[in-house]
Amino acid sequence: MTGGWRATHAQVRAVAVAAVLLAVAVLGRRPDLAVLGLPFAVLAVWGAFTRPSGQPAATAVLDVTTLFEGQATRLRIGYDAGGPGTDLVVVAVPRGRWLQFEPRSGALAVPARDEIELLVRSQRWGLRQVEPPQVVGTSLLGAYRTETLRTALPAVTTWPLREGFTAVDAVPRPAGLVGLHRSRRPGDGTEIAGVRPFQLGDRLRRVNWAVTARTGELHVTSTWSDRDTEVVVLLDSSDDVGVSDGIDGRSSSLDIAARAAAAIAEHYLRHGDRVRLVDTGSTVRAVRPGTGRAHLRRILDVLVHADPRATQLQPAYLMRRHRIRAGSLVIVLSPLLRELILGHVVSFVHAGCTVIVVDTLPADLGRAAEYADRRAWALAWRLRLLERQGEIERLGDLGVPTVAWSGAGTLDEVLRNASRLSAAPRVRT
Amino acid sequence: MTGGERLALALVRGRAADRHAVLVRALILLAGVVALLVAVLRPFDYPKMFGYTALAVLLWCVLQPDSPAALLFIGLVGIGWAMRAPGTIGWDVVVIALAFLLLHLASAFAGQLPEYAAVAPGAPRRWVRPATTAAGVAVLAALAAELVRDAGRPGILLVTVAALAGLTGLVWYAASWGGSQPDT
Repeated sequence: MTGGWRATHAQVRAVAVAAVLLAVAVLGRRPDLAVLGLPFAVLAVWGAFTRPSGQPAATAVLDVTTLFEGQATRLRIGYDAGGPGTDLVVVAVPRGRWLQFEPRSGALAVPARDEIELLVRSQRWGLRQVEPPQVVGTSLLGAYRTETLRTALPAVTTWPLREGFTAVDAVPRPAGLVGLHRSRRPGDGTEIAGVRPFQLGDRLRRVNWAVTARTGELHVTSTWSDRDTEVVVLLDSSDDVGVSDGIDGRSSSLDIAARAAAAIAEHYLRHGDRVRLVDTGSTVRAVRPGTGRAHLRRILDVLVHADPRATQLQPAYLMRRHRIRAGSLVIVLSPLLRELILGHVVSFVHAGCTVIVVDTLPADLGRAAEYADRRAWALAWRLRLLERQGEIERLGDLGVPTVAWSGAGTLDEVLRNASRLSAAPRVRT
Repeated sequence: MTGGERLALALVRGRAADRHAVLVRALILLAGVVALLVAVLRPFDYPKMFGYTALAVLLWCVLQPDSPAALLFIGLVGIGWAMRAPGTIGWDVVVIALAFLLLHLASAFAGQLPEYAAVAPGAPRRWVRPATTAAGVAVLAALAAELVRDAGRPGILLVTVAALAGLTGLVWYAASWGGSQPDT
């Protein structure tokens, strides 16, 4: 409670108008003023008589505290009136930047009941704090009012995973033996390579009885071995360029990067690969390589903390700290506006990794720039884009392809090229 | 905050207002205008200064129902009426009484919720009985006062008011007995 039931302006008005008009009516022998004052006397008495006596209390609970972008959950506000007399309960939740309510205003007036529900929809990935709702109870005729203490709510963790992502089943250098990528070597797997005569060491369950019966010689079904690889997703959180309107509108560079990182991680984890996440702006929140659904959750939980205001890691420190193995597939998600990220890419190439850069600069950024200072802004931006194009070409000279993020299929061509290159015979000079 | 910012904020809040809040404020305005027109258009010389001031206060009342504005408006119109009206009972007194009542109830309802709040259906349902009773009391009081007007006995007004106060007590009792308190 913040102060019990207090008389409102309405009750004060009813009492004051009734008292003054009736007193003047009696003293001045004015029946017309009595007619004006008596209804107020009725309302004042009625309001006072139905004054609540209990001490109300309110609780606020979110059904779910982890959502995907665009998903909604219910905010349940329990109201214990503490006794009879409460007529109307008014709930108002301060509106956050990335939270949408139903009703849209986040405020609802309902007849007194035990539970009031509002829908809360998270529009952008990240940690979204739902402000404590204000709960006010009023008595009949709005005569008395009380406000209950605000209950703090946990933040809604909004994961950036939304769109499905697929890529060709090709990784440049498969290493382990537990993934779903078909390797070029025969072995245990699910992809059939052919039927061949039995050799010493073949398992009996591989015997192809149909061919054996037909040929009279023992034959087995051979398969390609399934392979996995280590995929490193490097998130460049040093910049958040562009306008973010949440899931329903325009996306900033960090929006694109976070959503792409989640989608890529989900895709490779689904195929049994080990996925590592490195955020250039986080010293402690990197995710070590791992597999499975729980690992995806770990990655998503780290992604929601991506913050362009964080101190960026230096390339040498990043390599030393994360010990990324040679042969890993490194996918760099960056708007490519800072030299630091180029340093990271060069470090990975020198460490023997296959690097693919996904350009997350929003395509509509040039148009947005036109709204600013037309001459200087547009010219400066054009110069910067030219510089950036030169940097991308230098990355290409290093053997690092750069592709713009466009959802499913973004990496297909570069993955095929990388696989072809890694399979080609090498010449040492 | 500058005046321009205040105006911009007020316009934004106005655009975000729920239709129920707009409707209730329209009722406040309607009731205030009716009360003011009835007072001003009567044959007696209603003080113009009171009328103009009440009009300005009425706008304040519409914008901020949870404020002393409605009390001030009723006070201004009531004082002007008490100063110049002949004191007889007629249809104009009943209309002003009902307009005051509507303005009071609409202000009370609008004052308990922010203008952008969505109002659930049935929210003002429990107000119907007290509002009807108060309106009925106004009409009954006018009829009773008109009936005893020519009685010519000293102290008859006091008796009338006492009788009506007794009626109010009866309403109070009925409110407690008839289950007017909401189920919580």
